[in-house]
Amino acid sequence: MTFNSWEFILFYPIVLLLYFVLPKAAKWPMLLLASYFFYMCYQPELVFLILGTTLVSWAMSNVIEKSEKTRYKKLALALTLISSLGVLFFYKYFDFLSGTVFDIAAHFGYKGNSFALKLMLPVGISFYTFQTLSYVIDVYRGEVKTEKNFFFYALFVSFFPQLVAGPIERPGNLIPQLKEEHKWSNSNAIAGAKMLILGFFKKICVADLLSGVVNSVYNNPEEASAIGVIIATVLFAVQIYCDFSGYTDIAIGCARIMGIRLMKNFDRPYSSASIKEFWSRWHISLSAWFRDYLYIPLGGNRVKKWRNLLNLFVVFLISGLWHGAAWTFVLWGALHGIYQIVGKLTIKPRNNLIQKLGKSENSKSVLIIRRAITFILVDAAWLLFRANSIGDAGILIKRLFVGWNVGFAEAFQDMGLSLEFILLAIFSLVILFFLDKIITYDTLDGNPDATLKNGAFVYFVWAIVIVWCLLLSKDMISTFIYFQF
Amino acid sequence: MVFYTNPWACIIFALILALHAASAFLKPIFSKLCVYVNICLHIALFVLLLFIGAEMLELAVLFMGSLAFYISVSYLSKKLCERLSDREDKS
Repeated sequence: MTFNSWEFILFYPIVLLLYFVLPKAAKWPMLLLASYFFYMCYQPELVFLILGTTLVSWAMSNVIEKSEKTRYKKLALALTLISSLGVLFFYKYFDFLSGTVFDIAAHFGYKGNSFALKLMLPVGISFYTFQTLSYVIDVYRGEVKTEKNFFFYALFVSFFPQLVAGPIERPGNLIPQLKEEHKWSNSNAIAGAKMLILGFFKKICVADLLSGVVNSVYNNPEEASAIGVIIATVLFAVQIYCDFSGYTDIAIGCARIMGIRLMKNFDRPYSSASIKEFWSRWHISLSAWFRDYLYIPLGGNRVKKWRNLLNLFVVFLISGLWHGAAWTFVLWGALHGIYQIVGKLTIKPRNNLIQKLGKSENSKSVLIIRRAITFILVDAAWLLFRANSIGDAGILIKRLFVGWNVGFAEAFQDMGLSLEFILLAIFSLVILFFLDKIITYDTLDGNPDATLKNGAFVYFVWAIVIVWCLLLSKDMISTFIYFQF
Repeated sequence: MVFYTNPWACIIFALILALHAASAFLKPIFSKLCVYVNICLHIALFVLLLFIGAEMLELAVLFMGSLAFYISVSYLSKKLCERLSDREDKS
């Protein structure tokens, strides 16, 4: 049951109705049941995994809080880390590691068969594992008190809007809100409905619409032209943003109608003027998680310069691996790590250059150039992220140098782009550009109506319905990209 | 695309764009009226296009085009108003 499915369109209003009709004592058990039902619609056989992870992390957090000896606290924390990350490794990375080991052995003459478990990847495992880890670590640090009621804690882990693709919530933000009694509020309902509409618009009218073009190039790299690769990679940057931020908007909207505020996960990432800024605007909950639970414990920027650079690289390498068990993701993470290192090392010469040109660091022209460069760097890295394999990524990069024998018109034809489709893509990009300026997470509580009249959202619903019908007729409805992580 | 072969479809689409522009600059009460009239025009255009045999892709292009025009005009009018009020404040 994905957000863009008929099942969810039936499921959500029922949950909402029950949530506001039931008495306070019955609200959260209903939400817990609904969340587990939501999860079991994906993979009923793997529900024991989320249940087990929840149980272990809850029990260990209680041990940490109750024990007086630091040794026991450390032991409980270590057990949680080993069990949670162990399950994650087993399901997500075992085949990748065994395949890599086999490839290396084969390189040295070993002629056996590779050993792969070929297990189904549990939906949202990376998200809920990180959420439970943040809870146990916060309890260990004394920043959060343990939740005495196991079922309440289970709701924090499995709360259905953010269960399968985040935002990765912190206990301090979500648990108190789940305990409060929320009554129907028109302002929450309007704000939530707007986020829902925006999320669906991003997913259906932009991401799904562009996915066909992107797939046509990335699934046939050998036949791609240089222009085709460039267009597909730029469109993929838009597709993945709309796909993931669209999911987040729907999650935030669903929770908001119930009166629960999930954290911000995106903040116009492509308007960033540096890679560092990009990571403070893209998948904010994951970046913050890595900062608080990996980068700072590794020493952050309180260590020597070379160590700090190494820490940065390690964090981004692991972030790449978090996204998927494939070398494309590892290289993508490593490339972002290198961007950060080069960015840090070249701050002074870059500032000197700007001063020599007689410009200020924040002048408009400098900002435009910095934004353009940042987008190009991020987009170049997306090529690795989207490529089906390292081999395909190599072919696509090669095509960028040798595939210039095809003109724009021919490239468009090869990608199956008709005039109508090009117009549709241009319109959706224009809408997205202005939409991101008008309605953001931060302006949701303000008065966005000053720019967009309430009735105007009917236009959006209209556009969503029509494009949805179009995609359905062409069998182009797809699941969310981040579900695979 | 078949929409431009039907004069009524062209007139309705032009009206839709004109009302979008008007709703962005008019006072709230008139603006709201424009929005409601425009929603009716969208429905009329939708029915007409289905009647003359337009494909779903063409419908999507027109409705997304209308939305793109609406949102860009809304944003530009907001910016314009901000600039004018800034100028008034300064003077």
